[in-house]
Amino acid sequence: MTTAELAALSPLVATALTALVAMLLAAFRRNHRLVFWVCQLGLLAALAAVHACAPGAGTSVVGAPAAPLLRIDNFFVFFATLFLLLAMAVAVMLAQYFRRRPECRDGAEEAYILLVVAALGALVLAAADHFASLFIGVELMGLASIVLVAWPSGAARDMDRLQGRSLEAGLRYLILSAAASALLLFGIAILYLQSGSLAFAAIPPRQGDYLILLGTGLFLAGMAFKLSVVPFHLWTADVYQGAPTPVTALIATLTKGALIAVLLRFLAAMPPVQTQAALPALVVLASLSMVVGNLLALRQENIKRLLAYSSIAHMGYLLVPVMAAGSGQLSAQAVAFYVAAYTITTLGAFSVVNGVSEGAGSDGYQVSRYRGLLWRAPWLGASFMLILLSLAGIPLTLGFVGKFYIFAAGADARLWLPVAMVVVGSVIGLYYYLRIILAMAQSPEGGEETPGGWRERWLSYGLTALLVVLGIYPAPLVDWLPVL
Amino acid sequence: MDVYAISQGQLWSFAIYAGAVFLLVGAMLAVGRLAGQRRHEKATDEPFESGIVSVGDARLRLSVSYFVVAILFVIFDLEVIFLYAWAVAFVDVGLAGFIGALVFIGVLLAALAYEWRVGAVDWGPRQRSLHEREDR
Repeated sequence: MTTAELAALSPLVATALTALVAMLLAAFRRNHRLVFWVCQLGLLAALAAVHACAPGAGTSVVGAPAAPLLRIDNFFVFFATLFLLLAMAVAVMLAQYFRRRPECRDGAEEAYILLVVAALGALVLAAADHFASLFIGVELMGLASIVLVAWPSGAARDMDRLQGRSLEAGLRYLILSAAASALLLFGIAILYLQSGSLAFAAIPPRQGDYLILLGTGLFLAGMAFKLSVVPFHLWTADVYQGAPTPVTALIATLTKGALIAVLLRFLAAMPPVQTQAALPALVVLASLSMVVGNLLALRQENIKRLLAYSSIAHMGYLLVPVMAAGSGQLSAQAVAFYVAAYTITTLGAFSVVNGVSEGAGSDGYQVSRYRGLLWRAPWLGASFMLILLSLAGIPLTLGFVGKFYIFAAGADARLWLPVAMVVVGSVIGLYYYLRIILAMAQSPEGGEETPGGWRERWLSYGLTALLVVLGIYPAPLVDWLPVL
Repeated sequence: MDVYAISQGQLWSFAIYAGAVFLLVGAMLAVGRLAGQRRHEKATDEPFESGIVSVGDARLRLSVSYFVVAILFVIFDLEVIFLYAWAVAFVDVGLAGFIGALVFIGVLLAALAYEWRVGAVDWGPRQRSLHEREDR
């Protein structure tokens, strides 16, 4: 291993060391505040390492040069920065969550450690150019988040209704992740049978090879399971509902973003013949997700289930530029921009939900709890309104610029059917986002007081400010988008 | 290396074998169904093994700490497999491989220290004084 390789690896090493140090701290000196700060500083150090050791425009690889395990390039730098900042924001949300629900604070140190491990998995996925590193990344991220999903069931003594639900959600997530991993591995094995190498680029460009098609299909099915794309979406709403809200934010943003990044790299590295062969499957998956996700969200009364179905629809939108992967640089830029926009917006939404609903019992998640929020807590209500408008893709928010990029990338690759579906999905989506805004604008009588001051809300305000500022003036983010 | 061509040639024997398996199992089930007698007595649905009626319940209660220790054993046992791979290639990977293995063992050691400190390897329920119990 050369020094150049070590320098390129330094962000991953820093993150892994953070988890290790925090774990030893938790063993010998239990103090959740100390572990929180150690994790935040470690993630910050990893962020610094990403930018200090990033190769300017070139690429450095780790592993054999012909079939590298990890590829540290511009693409990695963009996504690693996003994922590290995201993990830091989720850590802040977790701290707020533990303040709101002190009964879950037993063993809070481990929650931060698992969060850092999940971030490490996402970093591996952002750089993965090989099925081995892909699988390691997927499992690191998945296993850490399974424990976090079932968190409330393990910490406190007495079983209440929320605890049973989180245990059920954790078990469901575990079993479905295992099934998805099995599909993924079987697909990888079949591709390996045909290519003799685990590198993405080694898949032979043979037309009409049914085994390659089958392998790609199984691989995509496994990915679709983990991305919760229709028809592999049945677990999503229950897991989102049962998990603690910060963890819901984590699996809605970090997991999805990292998997989309690696899927894009996979499709771009495959020979064009094979990408073309996989295209019809991707078109069907994306179109179904956009329509079914939005339709299922229409009648939801539970805010977390509603956001779950909305995230299914957003994964459908994101698949449109992903399937354009082979056809030009616009696709990678559109994916990077939309992932950033979706991450900021979804984090904002869940941070508001974390502040309003968490600690209010099992019916705290009902939409009715948000009635009159604009009058009771004007600033919080206004930021939630802007966040929902951004999810719907209304101009002057980040969501609109993201949708614009998706249209551009889709039209550039002549994917007319998926682009039309994006329009249909967006129109349906507008209805249920506006329904919440309408509920927030109703008179506040009968609604409960919303607790919390600046300390609980600064993250929501900050994310809202970010999505409005970048929505009006997206140039800083646009200049920074990577090419693949 | 054309794996595809090789598998093409062997596919037929495999297909015939798989077909024979299905045929055999299907024939056994069909003969039993067609030629067998059909009766329903009191003891027909009772489970038995080797002609002996089962005794007791299969749902035994085991101590939870048994599972924790068993799972810890399996985890560390699995990690040893990676060390076997290193042992086979010990001469070839040289100093870099040695440092890599040291890092790997160091992480395992840290995990063991953590498990020991949080009490995962303590057998049996922890003894707590009355004072401590009131604190919780």
